[in-house]
Formats: sequence, structure tokens, C-alpha cells
Amino acid sequence: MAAFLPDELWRHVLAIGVKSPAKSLSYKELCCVSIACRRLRRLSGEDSLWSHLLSSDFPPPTSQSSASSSSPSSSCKALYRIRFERDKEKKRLAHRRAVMRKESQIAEHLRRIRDIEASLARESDKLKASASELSNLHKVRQASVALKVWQPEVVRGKQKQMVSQCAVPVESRISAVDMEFRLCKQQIAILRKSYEEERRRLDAAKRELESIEYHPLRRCERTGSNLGGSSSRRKEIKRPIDVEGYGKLAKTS
Amino acid sequence: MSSSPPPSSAAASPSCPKKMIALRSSDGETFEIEEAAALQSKTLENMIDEDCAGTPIPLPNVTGKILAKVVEFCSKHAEPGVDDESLRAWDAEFVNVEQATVFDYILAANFLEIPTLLNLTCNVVADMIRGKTPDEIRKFFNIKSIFSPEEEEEVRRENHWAFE
Repeated sequence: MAAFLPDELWRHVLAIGVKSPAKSLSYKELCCVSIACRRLRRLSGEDSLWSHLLSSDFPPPTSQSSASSSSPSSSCKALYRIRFERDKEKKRLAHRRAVMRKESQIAEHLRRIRDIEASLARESDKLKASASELSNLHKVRQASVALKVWQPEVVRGKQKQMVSQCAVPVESRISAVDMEFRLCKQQIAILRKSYEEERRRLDAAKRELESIEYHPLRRCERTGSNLGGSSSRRKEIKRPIDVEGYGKLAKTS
Repeated sequence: MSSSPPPSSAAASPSCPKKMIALRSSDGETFEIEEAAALQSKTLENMIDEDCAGTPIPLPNVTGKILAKVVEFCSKHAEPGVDDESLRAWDAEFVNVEQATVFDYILAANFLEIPTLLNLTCNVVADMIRGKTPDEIRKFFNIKSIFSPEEEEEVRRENHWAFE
């Protein structure tokens, strides 16, 4: 049937397709047509079509004057191909840069999270120590109060021992350690908030990376080997140590 | 959407002030078309000016089947007071035919120089090409000519960049 349309009308069809607002025919369609048969190869390769595509797909920057694109030796189609491949390479590099930027953001979040965990561990240890000291001090105080009333000699003996073994002034020490304890708790609360925040940011960055990298034909395998370098960073981040158990000891009966 | 031309009469009757032009297809069928509609065709416009009033204008390049549709198209597009949207919808229906017929419309629109019909039908063919692989294009347009192996190799190399 194509033989029944003269060249001039095929030209018209292709020109209309290329110039239509709906963009029925793009570079890709013209290339498909080119592969179909000799005649269409000739007709679809004409400069008039490709110079139109050149100016619509790769418009020259406003400072340049138009119609400077056709060089005497190469066809418009060849020129289009050059621009097209250059543009593709630019896009590929830009994409690569975006991925790398996002990956380094993620590495930064992971680093901060680890720092916070280390601080949390230190503070939890301090808390434990304070709680334990506080508990002992309370026992000493109880003992010294109890000594003021009558007790069986066995008990009294133990209490005297406890009081004498305590080298520090009990009351002032209790308030100091209590203060330490409260400050520790506060600090832990602040650290936990920062931790949550940093985790949120990490998750957001990871989602963004996934979306940047999405490709319908490729499954993204992020086994962690390319995130920040070492795979150990991808280990499940442990929950910070539970603080509640120590808080109960601070309450006096 | 009536497709039959008004009842034939060589001369305009007094009750119908519009001037009718008579056309004869390649296979001898006669059709009548209002002058306003006929003026959509540059070819017909020239022929009418040459004062061939009365004798049917012979159109050896157009069959009766196609000429009937062309008359319908021109009449519709000469109608006053039709809004763009409904005209577009009508056009879409008009070209909702098989590919061979669209090609016949293109040839007729080209011969009769009817820009609206030509643009419409060429757009349709462009849309038919869109989204097809070279093989599908060949099948669809019934293209039989094949490249030699060397040419085939060459043309694929020439165009592969578009598919990376």
C-alpha cells in the first residue's frame, strides 16, 4: 500500500507528524521508518525533518542565533544524533552525581547515628553508676537513721559497719549524685530525640536514593557494599539501652 | 450525520438559492455539492471559475466511493455555526476507517487540493506509524521491498543510537 502513496505525500505525512503539536513522530519513529524500506529510509532522512527536530529538541541557547546548526558536510540527522548522544551522556553523568551525593548524605547520617549511639552508651553507663551509688547511699542513710532507735545487736552491728564504711558525707553526696542522675536522664532524652531525628533523615535519604535509582527494568540490589564503603555499616542498628529500670530507684519510699 | 447528497438537479431550483456543482467520479457516478463546500477544494475552485457550470466536472482520479465521502467532508466543513470541538469529533469519526481508505482520502485530498482533509488524513497516518517497530511498519503498510544484507546492516547501524 505504501507504494500507492507518492514520495511527495509520504513527505507530507512525515512532516506533519514531526511538526504536529502532539509530536506524533519523534526521532525514534523516524529511525523506525528508516529501517522499514529503501524509499522510506531516503524520505525519513531528509534534512527538513531533522532540522525541525534539532530546533525543537535541542534549541540553541538564546545568545546564539538560530539556523547556525547545519554544517555543510554532515546531514541534519547526523547532527541530531551527535546532540542526542551528547545530551544522553550529560544526563547520565548528572544522574551519577545525584546518586553519589545522596549516598554520601546517607553515609553522613549513618556516621552521626553511630556517634549518638556511642554517646548514649556512655551516658547509660554513667546513669547505671549513679543509680548504683544512689542506691548504696540510700541504704547508708537508712542505716544511720535506724541506729537512732533500738535494734537487735546483730542488725545494729551491720548498720554500724555500713555507716562507717561510707567515706563521704551522705546527705550532700546524695544530692550531688541525684543531680548527676537527673542530668544523665535529661541528656539521654536529648540524645534519643536526636537519634530519632537522625534516623528519620536517614530513612528519607534512603527513600530518595531509591527513587533516584528507580528503573523499571532493573532491580536495585543494595546489599550495602556500595553505601559508604564498608558492609559492616549496614548491620542492624541496635536500640539504645532502656533507661526506665534505673529511674525507679530514684524514688524514695 | 446524513451522508447522501441532496437530490440531483442540474440547475438550481428557485426554492433552493444555493448553487450546486456536479461532479463525476472515475467510475461514472455523479454527485452534487454546494458551491461553498466545493470551494474547499482549490482544484474545484479553479474549475468553477472556468465557467463549466452545468456539465459535471470529471474527476478521473477519484472513485465514487471516495468522492461521496469527500463531498460529505467538504459539506460538513462548509457548514456555518459548528463549534471546533464537535467538528474535531466529527473529523475523528470520519477518519476512523481502515488504512487503505485513509490512503485513498489522502490521494483524493491531494488531487483536489483540500488542505483540511489532507492535514487530517496525514496526521492519521503519522499516528499509525507512531509506536510501531520497523517490522510492524512494513506489515501495516504492506511494504514488500527488502534491503540487501549489506544495506540492512548499514541501516541498522545508522539508526541504532535512537534505541539505546
